[in-house]
Amino acid sequence: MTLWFILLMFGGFWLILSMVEFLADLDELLLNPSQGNVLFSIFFFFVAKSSAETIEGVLRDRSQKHYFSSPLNSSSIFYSKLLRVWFYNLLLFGIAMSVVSFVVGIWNIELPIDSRFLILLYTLMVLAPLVGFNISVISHVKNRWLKKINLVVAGQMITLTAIILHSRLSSFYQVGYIVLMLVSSLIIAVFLNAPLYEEVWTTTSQNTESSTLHRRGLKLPNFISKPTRLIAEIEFKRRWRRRQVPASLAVVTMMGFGLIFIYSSLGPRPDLGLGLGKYFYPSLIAMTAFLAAVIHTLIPSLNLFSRDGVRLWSIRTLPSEMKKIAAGKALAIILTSPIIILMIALPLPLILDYPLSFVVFSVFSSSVFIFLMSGIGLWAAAKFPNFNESTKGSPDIITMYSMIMLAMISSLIFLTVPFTLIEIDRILAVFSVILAADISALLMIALYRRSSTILEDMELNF
Amino acid sequence: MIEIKDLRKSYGDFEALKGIDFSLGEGEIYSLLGSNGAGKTTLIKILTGLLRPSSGTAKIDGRSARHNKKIRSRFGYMPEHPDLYEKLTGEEFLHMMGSLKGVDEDILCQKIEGFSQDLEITGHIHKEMGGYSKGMKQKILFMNAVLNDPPNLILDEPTNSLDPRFSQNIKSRIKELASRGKCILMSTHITPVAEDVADKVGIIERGRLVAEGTVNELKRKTGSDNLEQVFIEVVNHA
Repeated sequence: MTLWFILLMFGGFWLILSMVEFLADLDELLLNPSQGNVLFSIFFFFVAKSSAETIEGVLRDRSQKHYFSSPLNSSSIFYSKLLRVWFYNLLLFGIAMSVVSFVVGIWNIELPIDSRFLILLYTLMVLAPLVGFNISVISHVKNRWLKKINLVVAGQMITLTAIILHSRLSSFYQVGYIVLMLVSSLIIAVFLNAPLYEEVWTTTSQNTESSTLHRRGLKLPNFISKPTRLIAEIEFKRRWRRRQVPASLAVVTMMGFGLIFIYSSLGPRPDLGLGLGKYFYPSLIAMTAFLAAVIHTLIPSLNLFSRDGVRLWSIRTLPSEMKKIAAGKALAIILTSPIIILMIALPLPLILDYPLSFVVFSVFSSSVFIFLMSGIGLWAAAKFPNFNESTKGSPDIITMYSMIMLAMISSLIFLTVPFTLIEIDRILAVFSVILAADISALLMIALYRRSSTILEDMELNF
Repeated sequence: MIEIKDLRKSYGDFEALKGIDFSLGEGEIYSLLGSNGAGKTTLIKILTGLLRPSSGTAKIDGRSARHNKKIRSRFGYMPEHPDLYEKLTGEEFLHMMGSLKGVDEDILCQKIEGFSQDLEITGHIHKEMGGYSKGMKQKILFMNAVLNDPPNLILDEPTNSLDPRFSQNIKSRIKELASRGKCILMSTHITPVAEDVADKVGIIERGRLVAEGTVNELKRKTGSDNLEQVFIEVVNHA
């Protein structure tokens, strides 16, 4: 395992370096005119991330009942949670910046960014978690009017940030505006949200415990075996109610719109100055589809069994074959994966008016990602489970990293031949990618069967 | 029928079970009594196939439940901790479990409705289980164990979180099930529960079955007035 991890780590590191080198070599056209876009995208990503973390990890955290039943006042708990979200996001940003600086230093890459970009980036990063945290808190306030007014204010602040970053104002004014926004957010946090925190937490955490009535959800066709169908329906329902499915669908949809946005900014054939123009969009589609498959398929698969944790006794004592149960779990993930094809693999090739053979190629390449990630995720879920209830079954960082690298390497193995052939013979390339999709589907079946054997044999001593 | 023969389970140097033997047949209620950590739950988990024995056998109707899906329809299991899927409603959970245990759709709906009325959870059965009290979860677990009317029942601390009224209700149900020929293995550390329902009692202490017999036999042997005294006497001398 250690050797395997070291190999994967070096492999992954090499791939990241190659990607950064490639990006850094791109013509300035790709980076310079859109520095504002890049800044806003990073800012928005961190706002969304901290907002989601606040809802999932803070507002729905029922263990805070211990704090609320202690002599601590609501505001102190609010500030400690705000600092937690702030600190973790800044830490993540710090790590990301260290990696980038290391890579830039080692390879002596000259990134087309100036001090203005860096000042704005650092200021925005201090601001983003704060904005995200506050948005989540105000969006859960009971009073409807207060909620609406606050959300309008937050929306305006974000829109203004986008406009200011796009504008040609000097960095002094831009930084000034952002600092002003930071102060406003702090005022909102201190005077408005902190006193309301207990009420917000009570409402949100009780909603999680839920007293909602539910109607029947997804119904799958009867030709699927009963255990697989029932487990898939139930798993899908649980993931939907935990908002994992809608959140993941939203992310993939946003990635799809991001591709179209890049196309609308750079045009149909961006001149990269290296004669690589025709590879730009195919590479971008492939990378985006890969990332979408990681987010939508691999990561949710990784905690499919460990999220059940102490509840696994229920499926282990059922008189059903474990491979049918594992298939049901896999089906619940794969069911929504066509969104990757619909939002990423199809739109851009159609907009760019690529030949039909390339459209088919794009669809099947994405299918390879989906099948591989689902299989690898499910196998790893059984092989390296993390039954720590406090992490909600998420695998440890080494396992997650190793599996992403494994997915990357296996995707390269499966797609190298089709990607080479598309330059030589398109029809042959389409056949080869269909074959690769078939083999990856078979591999997925083999891997989930293996995971069912591991699950069947697992000792459940908790 | 449940049969345990020379059952041992070790975790490294620690021996959780040190060679347990007992059996019970149709219509019999066998209560396993023991201090916390004595090995009751380990034994039950081996019997249900959730754990692998180090040596010896634990069989239900002549077969081990481990890697045997057929035998799993011949027992109902109620775990000690009420760990349930919080994002499912009680009805959805029972419906899934019942369907996968092969209960006919119409009968299943009737059973869920009947049980929830009897156990007074009709108002909650369509709500997510994350909001249930421990007692309500316990009732769902009991309903799940008996849904497909299996010939054997394995109940780990069945009355743990229940109030006296429902504890009484569950005890009378256990007796009624035994009178219909069900073989029931029940673990508990609440001695009055065992005294009320058990035909036979086995006392486990530090992985060993240190005493076994009917309640009256054990009282006679130890010269005690009730099962609680029997238990203290046996455990102190073990």
